[in-house]
Amino acid sequence: MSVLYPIFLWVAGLSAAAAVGLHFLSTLQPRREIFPTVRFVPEATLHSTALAMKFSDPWLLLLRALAILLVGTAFAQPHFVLWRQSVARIVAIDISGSVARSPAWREQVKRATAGAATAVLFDTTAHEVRGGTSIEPLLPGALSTTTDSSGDRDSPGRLSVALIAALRAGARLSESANSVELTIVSPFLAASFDRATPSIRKLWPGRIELVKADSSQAPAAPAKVEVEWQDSAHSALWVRRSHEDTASGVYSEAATLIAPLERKWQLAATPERRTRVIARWLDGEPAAVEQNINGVLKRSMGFSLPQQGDTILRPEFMRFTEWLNSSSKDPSAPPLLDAETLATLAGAAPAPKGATMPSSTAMSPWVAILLAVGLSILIFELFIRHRARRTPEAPTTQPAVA
Amino acid sequence: MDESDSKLLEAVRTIRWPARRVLRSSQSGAHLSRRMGQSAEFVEYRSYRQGDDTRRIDWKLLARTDRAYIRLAQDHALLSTMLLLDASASMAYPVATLAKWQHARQIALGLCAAIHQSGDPVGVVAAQGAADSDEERLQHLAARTRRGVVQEIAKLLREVTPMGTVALAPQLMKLRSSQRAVIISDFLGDTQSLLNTAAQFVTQGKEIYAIHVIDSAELDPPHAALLLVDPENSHIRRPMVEATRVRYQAQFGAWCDSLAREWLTRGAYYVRATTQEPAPFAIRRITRTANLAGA
Repeated sequence: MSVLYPIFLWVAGLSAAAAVGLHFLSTLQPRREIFPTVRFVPEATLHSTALAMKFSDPWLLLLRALAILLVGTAFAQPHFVLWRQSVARIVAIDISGSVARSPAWREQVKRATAGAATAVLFDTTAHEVRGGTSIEPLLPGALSTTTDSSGDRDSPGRLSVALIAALRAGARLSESANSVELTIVSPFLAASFDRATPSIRKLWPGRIELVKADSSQAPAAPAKVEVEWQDSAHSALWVRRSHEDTASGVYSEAATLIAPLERKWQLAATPERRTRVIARWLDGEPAAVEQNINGVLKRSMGFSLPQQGDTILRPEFMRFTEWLNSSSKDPSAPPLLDAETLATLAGAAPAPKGATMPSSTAMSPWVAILLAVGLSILIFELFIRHRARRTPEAPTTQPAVA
Repeated sequence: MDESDSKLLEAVRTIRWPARRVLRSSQSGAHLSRRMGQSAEFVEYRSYRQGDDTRRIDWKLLARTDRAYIRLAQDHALLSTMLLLDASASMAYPVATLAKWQHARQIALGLCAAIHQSGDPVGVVAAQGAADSDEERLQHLAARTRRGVVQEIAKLLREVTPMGTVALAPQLMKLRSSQRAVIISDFLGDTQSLLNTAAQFVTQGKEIYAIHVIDSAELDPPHAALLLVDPENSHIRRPMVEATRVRYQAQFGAWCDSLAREWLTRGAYYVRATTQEPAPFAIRRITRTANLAGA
């Protein structure tokens, strides 16, 4: 048996002990004795000096102590489990579109779910698969069902959602297990970590095992960079402007280039999904885009750089041209969680002794039963007490006369 | 009859209980009667008066003296005795042994035996209350002289358990036909009414004996601190400690003396019988005429 609020058990125990003590104290009163000529005893205030401890009203005491303990146990909300397993494992599996569904991922999931009691499949929502002692046989079906029915495949899986679902499952499993472990299988993209995640993470006691999966949005670093200039290439990404002008410059993540650049092209209305704006005119209009096509980073510029003059001598121009041809960083790859955040998410220490999962709101049926029995005993005790008062104090052969 | 009763009857086997007064009864018995009759116990001659039965004239004396004389002889009469036994809750003390009640019962049985041995009819009334009401229950055996009446009384008294409250005065009033009434009680009930009724008995020339049964613990209460409860009224509760104990003994002793005076003033015979004194001794003391007044 485990209890949710042990303090009530302590209080009930102390109250029962106090009741026992009161029963002993009551016997400190002078012994009552029948005496026919009591009318000749003068009235006096009795200061009892009797120290003999004598047990009185054992049945009343038994009923009172039992009622107090039962009510206290009911308030403590006990949970009776026939047997407890030492460890129950929960596996949270990211099934969002950000996960690369490779055989390696399947192997990772298979290893993680081996021996797990519950799996939480999550993307922007969470779905729990309960498997009793092991969910491994249930997982393939659940995975296929969930992946088919889920809506927002492109968004990364939310760690907050996974943690909340895991906390719920952990509260349930903690009633039948000594400890609960959590494993999260996810690419751990930066986008999956929101501002609520740290505070939710603090609710889970102890460490979380993090299993990093491959991301579908993280292609291999491009080996080659191709730069095309629209003035000479005539790409479909661009359309000619209705009237040309001369903007004062463009800015990119590498440098801001201030120069009298001619603006002849504007971005097509519906660019491809993989297209990313990498430079803009000073008024915010896209000036250059890039696409990652089969490992080749293709950058398309909607303007032409000057070939002569002071502009080409400026450091900004040099940084811009260097950045334009560099492929060291793939800007289209989604950012991952940094090591520090991952360490925070995983946690360093195991769960402290006595740490409990946040309680589930479901009340044990034993609470109502214990309360009912306790109150019944209290009513019965009332009846017994009333009856005891009515019983004559003299022996049955000498009834008291009212 | 149990062993203690048999021992008691053996101890009082020689005791007789003579009447203290000359009786008016016409029934022939062992006690002196006021009537002068025709028995063999000659007393005197009296001159014949008109209306005397001529069969009672001593004809030989008439022949010698030529005067008519009536021969007078001392008549003997029976003394019908009824015992009224208080079987209220106050007699059931101490609760564990009922020593007070047993003592009263043995005195009653011994007196019955003494009366029966005197050839007088004897009966008993044991008045007890009810456990759950004010109703009174009477165990009654009419006065008889026949053999075995003592055994019947012993059986009746053994079946009585003292309980409840009892008013003895109305019961005493019902015993008017008896020449001698013996009240065995602790007199903690309707004492004043009982005294008044007894006074009426005495004025009618009947004998009234008040046997005051007292338990030794009532005279010398225990020294422990106790909360004492009246057996007939549980609302009366008093603490018994050393300070109150002395005052209790003084008050109780004064009450006993006052009660003795009340009985003696009304012409009754008052005898105090404590449980310390063996029942045969008490019976001898009661039946000994010379000691009656100085009990």
